Amino acid sequence: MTPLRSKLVPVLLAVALVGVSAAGLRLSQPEGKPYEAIHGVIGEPVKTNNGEVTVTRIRVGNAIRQYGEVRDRTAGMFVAVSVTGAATGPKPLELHKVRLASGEVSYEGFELGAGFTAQPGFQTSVESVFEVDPAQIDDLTLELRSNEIISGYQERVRIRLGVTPATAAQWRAASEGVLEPAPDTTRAIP
Amino acid sequence: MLWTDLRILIVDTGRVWWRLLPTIMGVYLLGWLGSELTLRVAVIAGDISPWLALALFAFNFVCVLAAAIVILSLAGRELGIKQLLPADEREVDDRDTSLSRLLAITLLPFLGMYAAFGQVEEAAQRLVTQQWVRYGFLSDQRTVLGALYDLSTQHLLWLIALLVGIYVLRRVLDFVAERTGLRILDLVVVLIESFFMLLLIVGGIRVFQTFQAWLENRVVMQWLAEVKNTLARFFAIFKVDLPEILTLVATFLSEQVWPVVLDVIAQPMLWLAVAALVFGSRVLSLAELWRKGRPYAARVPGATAFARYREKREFRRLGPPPKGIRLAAVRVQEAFFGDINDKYLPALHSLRLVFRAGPIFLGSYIFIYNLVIIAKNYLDALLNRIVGGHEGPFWVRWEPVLDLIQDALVEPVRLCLLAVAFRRCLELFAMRANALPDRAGTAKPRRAAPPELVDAEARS
Repeated sequence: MTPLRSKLVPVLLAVALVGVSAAGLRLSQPEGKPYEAIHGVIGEPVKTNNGEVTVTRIRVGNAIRQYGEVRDRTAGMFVAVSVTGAATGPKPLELHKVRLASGEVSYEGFELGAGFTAQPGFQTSVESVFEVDPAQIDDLTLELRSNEIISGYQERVRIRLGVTPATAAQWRAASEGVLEPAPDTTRAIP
Repeated sequence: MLWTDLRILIVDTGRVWWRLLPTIMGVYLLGWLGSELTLRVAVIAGDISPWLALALFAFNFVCVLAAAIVILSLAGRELGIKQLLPADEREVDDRDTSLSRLLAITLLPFLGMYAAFGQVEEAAQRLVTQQWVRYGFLSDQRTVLGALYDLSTQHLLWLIALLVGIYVLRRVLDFVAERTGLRILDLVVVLIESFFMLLLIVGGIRVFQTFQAWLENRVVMQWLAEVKNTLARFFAIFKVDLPEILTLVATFLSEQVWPVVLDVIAQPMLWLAVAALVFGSRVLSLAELWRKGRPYAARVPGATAFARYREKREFRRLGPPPKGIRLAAVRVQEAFFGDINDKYLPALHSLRLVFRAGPIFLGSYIFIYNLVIIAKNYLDALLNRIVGGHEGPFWVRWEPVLDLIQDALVEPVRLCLLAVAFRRCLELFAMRANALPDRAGTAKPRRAAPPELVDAEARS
């Protein structure tokens, strides 16, 4: 082995080992805060630590009516998702961080307070409204989680709304109309 | 050679860990228990005063670091690191005979490591979280964070005076401890040092943030922005989007290069350098001599970078002892620089030493060290999956237990790896001085082979 090669080979080996270490370390560290995803589908209750969550209905439109008059219009599309949360356990069910996701695109609630709280023994129903880009609604998924200042490994409920690439065009076509979100209701769990 | 280093690091680490398992696990659990108890007591003491909480919380680090230092020391003994020294030199180092002295000497660099890699901030955050849980977010009760915020933003001079006062107190106690030989004073010094570091780091962060906010409103920042815009306009003539290029370079450096340098390379290297301090200045001097291809017999007390400040002073002193103003100057110099020389500089020299162990060894060591960290990350993910997602209060209550499970499994292995890696460093330096045989099989004259591992090697 030439003197140059005898010096170069160990350095290259060391660099390779550092490279492998860096790749391994990067793969072992999750991007962002890790969480437990609990998946569900529309119409079926999803169990969480403090209760159950069900998405019962989805409506679309390009305007929102409130108290008898049109309050907002959009060049895109409004999606209203009816959610019922039942606090079946001894603690309240609090899911205040709600968003819609389609692949990498994320839509926050159109109004503040898109989430809900259900007290033990009760179920609360809300209709959360989101303004979305009609071109990016494939695999639209509702994500709900609690909004905590101190948080650890959290639960995130993810419910697919059934908007597939095949049906996306139908949803877009159906969005020509006015939406009137239903008021929040709370009643005892039957 | 690569395979030899990898094999030694893996096999010897496993072997030392397994042989010492009950002892090191006991020491680790004691350290954990001490730190958790101190945290709880500090949170309760916060009802009386946030400063009392901070002072007690400083003991938290002493518990954790004392356990780490004892485990390193035990692993070093098992590996026969001290056996490399001639018999008459082994017991001279006072860190062998007193744990409090060992802590007093090594705590500062260890705390520095914890601070550099965010563990001090993380621990302080735990204290703050516990106080939030105890008092609520909207409570009027003054928390540690609130007290430090006030001090660093509204009474900066008081903070500086407090830091200087604590430093002077520590040096006075250091001096008294050295003169009287009272070991309890060593422990007091350690506690004061820990409090000093905590105050410096947590308070320093607030001062830095205040300074940043102040700087952003200065005219000089407008000038810099104007210079940047002028440069951007100039480069735009040549169709070069300078801001875009600078943003790309900065993003690449901060998101790709810096994490690799900091987590993958700097962390293992610095830990190895700091861990080496536990084994004593004599062992480090030996390593330094071997690195230069010279035998230990060539050692002159006070001549190496790792010698104690007093030895260095005696080695350098020529002619009659100083008198008058010169004596006073020497005393002042000793009061301030003696501390730096004995506690800070050895860590730097040690880092320089381990960097010269050769690329193959360094690559192998970095690879194995990161394997341990990767295993810890996956263990963390596995525990999360087993326990499942929960709300904040659950994690405030149970996180210490879950952290204990992963740390108790991984941390002793990491510490054993540090001891084994330093032992391998010594072997490599010894080979350069022809003092040890090459464990890869190339025969070289043996002089001071440590019994344990060389025998084990011969058997295999």
